[in-house]
Amino acid sequence: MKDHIERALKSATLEGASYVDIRIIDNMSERIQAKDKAITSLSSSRSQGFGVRVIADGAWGFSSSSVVTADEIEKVAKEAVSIAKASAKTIKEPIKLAKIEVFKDDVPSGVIDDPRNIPLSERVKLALDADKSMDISGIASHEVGIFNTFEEKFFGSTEGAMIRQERIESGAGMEAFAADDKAFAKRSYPQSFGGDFACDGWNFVIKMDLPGNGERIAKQALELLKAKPCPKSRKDIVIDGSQMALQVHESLGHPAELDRVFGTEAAYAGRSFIKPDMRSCFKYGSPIVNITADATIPHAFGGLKYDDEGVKAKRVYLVKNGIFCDYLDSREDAARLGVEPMGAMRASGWNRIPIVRMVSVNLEPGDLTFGQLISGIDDGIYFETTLSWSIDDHRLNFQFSTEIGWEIKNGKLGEMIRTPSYQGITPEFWGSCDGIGNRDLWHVWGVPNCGKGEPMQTMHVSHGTAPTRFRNIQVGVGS
Amino acid sequence: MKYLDISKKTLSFVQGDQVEVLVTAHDSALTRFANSYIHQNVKETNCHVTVRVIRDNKQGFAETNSFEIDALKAVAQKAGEISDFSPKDPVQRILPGKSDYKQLDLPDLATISITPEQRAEAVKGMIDYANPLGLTIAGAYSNDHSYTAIANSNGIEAESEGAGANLKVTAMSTDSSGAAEVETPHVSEINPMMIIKEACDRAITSKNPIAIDPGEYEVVLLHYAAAELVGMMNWSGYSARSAEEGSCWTQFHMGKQIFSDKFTVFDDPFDPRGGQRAFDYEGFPAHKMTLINAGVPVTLVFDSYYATKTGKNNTGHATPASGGWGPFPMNIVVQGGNVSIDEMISKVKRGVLISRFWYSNLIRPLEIEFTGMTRDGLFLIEDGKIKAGLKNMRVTDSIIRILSGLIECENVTRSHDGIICPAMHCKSIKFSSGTLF
Repeated sequence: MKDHIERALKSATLEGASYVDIRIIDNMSERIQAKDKAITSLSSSRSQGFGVRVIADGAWGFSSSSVVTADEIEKVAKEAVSIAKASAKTIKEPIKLAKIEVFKDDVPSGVIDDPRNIPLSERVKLALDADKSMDISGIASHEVGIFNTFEEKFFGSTEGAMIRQERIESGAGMEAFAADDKAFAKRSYPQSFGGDFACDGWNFVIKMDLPGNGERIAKQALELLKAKPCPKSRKDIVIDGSQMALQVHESLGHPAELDRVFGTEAAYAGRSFIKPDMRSCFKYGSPIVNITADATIPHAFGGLKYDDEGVKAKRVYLVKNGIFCDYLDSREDAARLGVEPMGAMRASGWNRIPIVRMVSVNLEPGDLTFGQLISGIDDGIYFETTLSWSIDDHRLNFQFSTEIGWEIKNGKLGEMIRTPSYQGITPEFWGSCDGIGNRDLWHVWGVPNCGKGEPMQTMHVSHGTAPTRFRNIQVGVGS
Repeated sequence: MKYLDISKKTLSFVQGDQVEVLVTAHDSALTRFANSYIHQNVKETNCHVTVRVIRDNKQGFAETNSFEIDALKAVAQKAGEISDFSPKDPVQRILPGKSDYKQLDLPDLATISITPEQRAEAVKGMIDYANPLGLTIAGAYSNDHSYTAIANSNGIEAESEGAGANLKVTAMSTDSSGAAEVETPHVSEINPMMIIKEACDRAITSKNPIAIDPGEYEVVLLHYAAAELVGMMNWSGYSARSAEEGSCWTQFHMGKQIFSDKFTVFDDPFDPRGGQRAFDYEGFPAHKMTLINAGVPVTLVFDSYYATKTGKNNTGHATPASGGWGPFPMNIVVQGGNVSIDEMISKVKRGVLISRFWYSNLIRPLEIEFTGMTRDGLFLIEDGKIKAGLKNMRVTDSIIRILSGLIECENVTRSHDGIICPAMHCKSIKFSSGTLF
């Protein structure tokens, strides 16, 4: 691979590039999908390729190919330079990159329990056992997915970086569907979006105990058909950890992406209400709100040692004691803001250019037990498991629904509520946060479907969260 | 080797009761601009070879993105091995047999051949138009050349080639924005100056936006917004798989007048304005179908598996089987009407015009209740005229309710997000809250 990397760097430089990097990736993934007591998809997929990114005439160019040969690498490297020169027709100022420490490194996956060492028959059996566990009378359909991915990535640059990183991802989830002629209900475990994910081997999947949770969620799906609707009023609420992962993702992670702030996502993913002059002074939330971007959390789905610009991973505060203090950034955006890059440039594959993405963005744990969170509410709602999500393109007005909820009456959980929803404006909402679950309740949720960029890039990120309490929130929006 | 030859060659590398090889390949390029300069400019060449092996009614899939013979042999054998680990499916899997297909036009050579320089020139022209107006622009200009080939052991031999181009731009002032887009198989239909003018006009007209209260408003939906509603209807609306799960809104309304009689929806794989296809991802021949006839849902769609499972006819709507998504309409066309957008606006006493939605998501699939934000041009209409730009609002409403009140459709239909759709004038839409810009 070193020869391929050096060939790309040399070819593009000779064509006139002032900076070149290349990523060569070999990605293998496995998917097991069981539905209604049958295996509907058992597949193995392999994707190999490389992407060359260059600066020429002060502008970016990128080209990629699935054909990993010396001749193709040379052709694609030259093509990237030609594309950059076309881009240069419109630039106002040449691209500048923040200086970084340059690394040569070899990074193993760190996974002890490699799923490839588990017989396929055993992995299939788990999917079928989990699916069968939801097969109770009245359930319309049920489904289980188990996913494993193995990736080897090489990165080299004209600055001298030469990094090889391995990554093994595993995850699983299941859903039970119930319906009558008036209503439809879905219950997911351990969360929506296909389940929970991490870089922590097969044991991470085993520990979920999918078969042990199937009957419970199937019964809940049936109960939801008859459950009471969400009242329309302002109430105190507690949000479970998995929905808090979405809350952090949408109303804190995305607005903290510096490329949005600078407008480069304006036409698609949108902009951000957090302007550069709000850094270190804007009151984002109550004083107990502390948000970190931490790619160094062991085995986190959003973890990494080096990002796709070769920047070494860090832990930084985005919000500290309620005050917004920093962004997720790239080398280019960091240079523009005059800060040190924190390592959030990521591409979803060899065929995509890196853009600013979340890593593991976390609401740091508080000090309350679940009982203490609930006991502080006279009349409220407990929300569990994401169902529907929407937020405006500046990341202010959001509205989320969960699959299931419960009344909170006099400090105790009460009757079940179907499709509860809540709505807010980001800084007001975080300002109303007055209780966060403790370290025992804190979990790093893997999110496999963060979409951004054109062409679309689906990124794997994570969020450490615990159940969290908010006061006087609008609930029960819509019919 | 041609792509169908690759499919057929790969078939020979593995034994099974039934074997299918799906080959897709594409060359695509995209120039992205923001703050009135090009900040990303990318190109990709990629392919996928997916082998499905069915032995004793047990199926397995394997996929590679290499056309090397060794890789094709390996992927075929891997699919065979995987099928042996799969339990026997209680539903008999019967892949389609040999078929004849409608001949489609060859892809447009000019669309395939757009260069980075041509895309950059178009972007530069738009920047030069917008900047003197005090507007910055952002957007993307892309083109794509794609191939699909399918061969199976029952005699299917199908191949097709397609092309497409898309230019979209958002023009922005300090307190407003407007967007415009053209997506087409023919680059000659992309006029960057017309697109930038549409976006800039909307950004200028929506300057100094005012706020309105949440509530119910008469509405004109531009084709972008209308297509987004129709797209959400498609998520769980017509698939035999979603009917099985109980999340399919049509299953309780089949044959009933639940929408306005002005609302007719087809799945038309031969409409020349869309991504034409002569067959689905199992090689079953495609044909035009009516999904909603004058406000009445009339059918679900099926692939080979769900046709067998339910005893219905295969309608040619298979998606790639390894994905497990089930059948899906891929060429939605909404029938146009008889009036222009200006005529629609002229009939509104007090209401709103919505240009597009953003981050919309279903809440209750059976009612097709969704929530989403307006974006890039929300306007107040009074006495038949655009009165002012509005701060963006959140819609939380049932699409069945909105389109039961469809008054009329525009006399022009255009493609957005792969859906060919007219603008629509509806009796009302419900805003549940507002935002700060």
